[in-house]
Amino acid sequence: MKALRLSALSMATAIGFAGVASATELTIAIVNNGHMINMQKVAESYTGVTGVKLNWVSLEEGVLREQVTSDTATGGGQYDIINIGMQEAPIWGAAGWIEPLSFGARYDVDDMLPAIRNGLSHEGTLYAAPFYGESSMVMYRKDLTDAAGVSIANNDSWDNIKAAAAAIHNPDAGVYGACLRGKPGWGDNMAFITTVVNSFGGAWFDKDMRPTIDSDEWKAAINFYVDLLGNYGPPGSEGNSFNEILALYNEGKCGMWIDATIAASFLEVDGVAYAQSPNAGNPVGANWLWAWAMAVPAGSPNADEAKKFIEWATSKAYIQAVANHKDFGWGSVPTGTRSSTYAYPEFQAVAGFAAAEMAAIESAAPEATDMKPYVGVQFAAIPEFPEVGSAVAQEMAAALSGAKSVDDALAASQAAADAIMSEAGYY
Amino acid sequence: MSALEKKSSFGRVFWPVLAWTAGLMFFFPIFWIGFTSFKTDADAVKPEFLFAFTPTLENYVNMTANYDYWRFARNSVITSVFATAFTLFVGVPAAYAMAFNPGRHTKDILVWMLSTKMLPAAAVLYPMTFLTKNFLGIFDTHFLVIIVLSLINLPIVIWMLFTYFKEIPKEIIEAGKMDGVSVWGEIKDIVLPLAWGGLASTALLCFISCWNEAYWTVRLTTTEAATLSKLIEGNRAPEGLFFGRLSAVSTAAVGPIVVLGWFCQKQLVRGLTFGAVK
Amino acid sequence: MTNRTLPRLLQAPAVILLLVWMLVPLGMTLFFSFIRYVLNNLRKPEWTTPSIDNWRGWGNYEYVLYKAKDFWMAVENSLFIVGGVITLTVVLGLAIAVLVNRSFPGRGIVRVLMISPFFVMPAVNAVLWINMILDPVLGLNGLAVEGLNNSINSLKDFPVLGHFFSLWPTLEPISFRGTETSAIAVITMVTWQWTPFAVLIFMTSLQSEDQQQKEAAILDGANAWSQFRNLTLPHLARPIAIVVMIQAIFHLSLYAEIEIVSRGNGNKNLPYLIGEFASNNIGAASATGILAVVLANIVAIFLLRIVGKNLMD
Repeated sequence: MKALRLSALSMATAIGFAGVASATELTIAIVNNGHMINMQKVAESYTGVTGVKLNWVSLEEGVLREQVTSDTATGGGQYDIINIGMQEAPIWGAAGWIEPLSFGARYDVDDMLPAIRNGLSHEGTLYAAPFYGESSMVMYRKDLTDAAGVSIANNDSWDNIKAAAAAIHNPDAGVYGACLRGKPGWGDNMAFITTVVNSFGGAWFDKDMRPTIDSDEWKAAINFYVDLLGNYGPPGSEGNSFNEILALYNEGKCGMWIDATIAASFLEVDGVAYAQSPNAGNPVGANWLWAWAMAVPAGSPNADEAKKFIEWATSKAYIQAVANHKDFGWGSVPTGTRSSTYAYPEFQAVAGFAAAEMAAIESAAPEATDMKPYVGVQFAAIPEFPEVGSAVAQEMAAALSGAKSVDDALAASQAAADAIMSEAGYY
Repeated sequence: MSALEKKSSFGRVFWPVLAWTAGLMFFFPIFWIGFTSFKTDADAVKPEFLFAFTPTLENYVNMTANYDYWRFARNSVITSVFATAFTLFVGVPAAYAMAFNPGRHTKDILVWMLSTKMLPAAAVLYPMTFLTKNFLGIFDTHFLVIIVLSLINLPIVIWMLFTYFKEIPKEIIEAGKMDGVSVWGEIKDIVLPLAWGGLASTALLCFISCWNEAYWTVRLTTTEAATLSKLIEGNRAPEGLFFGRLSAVSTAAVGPIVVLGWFCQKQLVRGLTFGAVK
Repeated sequence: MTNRTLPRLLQAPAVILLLVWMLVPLGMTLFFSFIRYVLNNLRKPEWTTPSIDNWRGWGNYEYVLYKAKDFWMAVENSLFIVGGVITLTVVLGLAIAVLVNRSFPGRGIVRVLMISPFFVMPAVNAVLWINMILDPVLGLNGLAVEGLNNSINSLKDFPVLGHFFSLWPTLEPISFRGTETSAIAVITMVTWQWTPFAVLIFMTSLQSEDQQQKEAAILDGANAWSQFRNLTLPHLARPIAIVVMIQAIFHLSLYAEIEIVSRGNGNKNLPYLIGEFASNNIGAASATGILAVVLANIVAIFLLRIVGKNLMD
């Protein structure tokens, strides 16, 4: 039976299955990123083969999270498949909001990048299948660094990064040394800032889950961040996140950008070079790890069909389907999920960033360690984190725009985080 | 008229120019969205293509082909029209009674009605989701959206109608009463014609408010009853720059109502002709 | 007694509908505000069901008022944004309504252009303003400042005059997403959207202004300002009251603009604060919601004191 189903999914026995499951409809909530938009087109062939009708509901990230949470927390039923991130997957799995996923041998779950797979699992069970994954790395204009006589190495020191940013910073010519995230949001500026803090040896919480935002490591990291971005960043950095910086970079206004590896596939400027994320002594957690994944809410009446679709959409066959689709190609395949993707010579040929991206993802370390008791690199996989993260995010943006001193912002952050954690009954 | 027409030549040029400048300035951002909607996503963020670019219909084609624009638009029309009609249906008699037969508590009722608008939506998102989905089973239906939009707008509509009705001289109503006109006749033949301008602006305001509502229409629907606000939300992406696409969607969402507003404009400013009688 | 029956019947549907609409969500919010209720808590799963067993008394209120951050900042911002928008829209609305009430070539077109912003969806409004207009680098704001700087720089090369221009400092574009400026950005975009509403209402009223009275005043030698002050303004008292009341109600619940401009950095108002709590802590969100209702009612009573007379006469 399983073999039959799988062969149907790989579209080999299309004819035999076309009429069987025609009545099923799946409602899929997605965040409207490039890869998801492409999926809507690629999946037309899935509907053609299986007869399953797909209703897409695309939403902005924050609204999606809100609606999916309210649906799932009230027993589900509106969506059969939801797009969730690495922060939610393990928590929602633990709370029983989403169903555990297991796929057949053909799916080759071991092909999945281990860091991604761990991040989407709770106690060894996979709860969400990764659609695409990302880490963070340095992207910089080699022409500018060469002209300025500086260089950026893999896992460089932050001091050297700052020196390089200073050397290529030329606002009169419209080039800013470093473009970094500053827009408040736990998934925006805090994603980057947390990696800086990690690399300075800091963490969000100590072993009792008390926040440690007033620690020396945080102080050093935030002072460095405000100094680097304040002096060598573009004006209005406190409003910049991925999208805004991408626009700036493609305008040639950024000498250097440290952000999601997925950015590399959008860059149009020539002479881009990549380097692994810098650190200040602690390379563990200096680059983040994120995946947009697909999960089945516990209340879905079509759970079986939903799981079949997820199995297809996150399979090797899907990667091939995108690559062979008339509108797309190897440059558009979703990356960061399977090591087999990186082995295709066609993919390597079009993706100059492939090696750097894979190295970054593989070196990301979401597991709990002696230094931090929580899962996650640039976030903590606890239900309270979005609240803590956004509270701190606003303080950091205030420090960046100069409305508050770094010390005041950190003190306020610590107080806010402490209030949220004690309110939630951690201590 | 002579006194009014006696303007200096400076004034004859200055005021029209000022009015035109103000009008164009207010319209410019809308023009800008429309303008940007003909750029590709890539060109839309590039200053070198600020004015000079190759216009494309790509965004509109994409919107109708891949985003099911017409379904969202149809839902917007259905929900806004019915919600406006229902709101007026309930609101006109209430405002009429309050304006012409005020009781001791009319003032309090009016204030209380407004206060129902003050409960922040974000606080009741979960109760509302639970109630409509698990309890009433009307989540993601036109019916729910229409009811919610009506309830949101009812207080404002009653207030506006109330103030417009207040402008109608009481004597006219009294005279009607003397002639033995029924209540319905009074509303139909005296109040509505006299307050036509006010009624039209109220209806338009209500319709716009329904069309633009973006909290409940986004959060109480999934696919069946999703309106254009939901289409807009779906085109704001965290990873990727889609200003061209977003502009096209926005133009297509805003366009119909701007055009409707333009057609109604004459009707609106004709206004309350009886004010001078008072 | 019978002559009260009909008015009551006519009001009944509206009153009953609004009563249900108010009591059900408000009742639930009130209940949630007194219990422990979170969406998800791995350590205390019992808090995730809204049950009377999780009774907490004033705990959520204490948390919101004394422990969690930003409540008072949100109150201040709510009032600041509402006050700023109302002041600007009334002043601008009056000026523009009087301006376009004169007859001049193309008056119809100008009116149409003028009222269009009111039809734009709030989310579109915010994205448009913050990204395409106010952005300090790629928006029109940044491009204009860059253009200005470039032209000043090129003037510096002129003989004699160039020396004068070289004293000119290089202009820095203002970032409207900063902590100090983000509330201003919100006020700007909301004012743009709602000034047409004020214009529309005022214009409707100006149509009914007594022209004979006005002509008499002109013949008496009253200048334009005193005409406006003594005739037009009193005539517009009621429409002004409407504009103020309705806007106060609408803008106390601004949400999309806050989110899109700066995610609450510097411009966080009460609805946004509630939204932040609601990401997990429904109890705190509900308590803040109740406090917001109290605040809104205070504002309403205050406004009614000021403008109520005009509405009720």
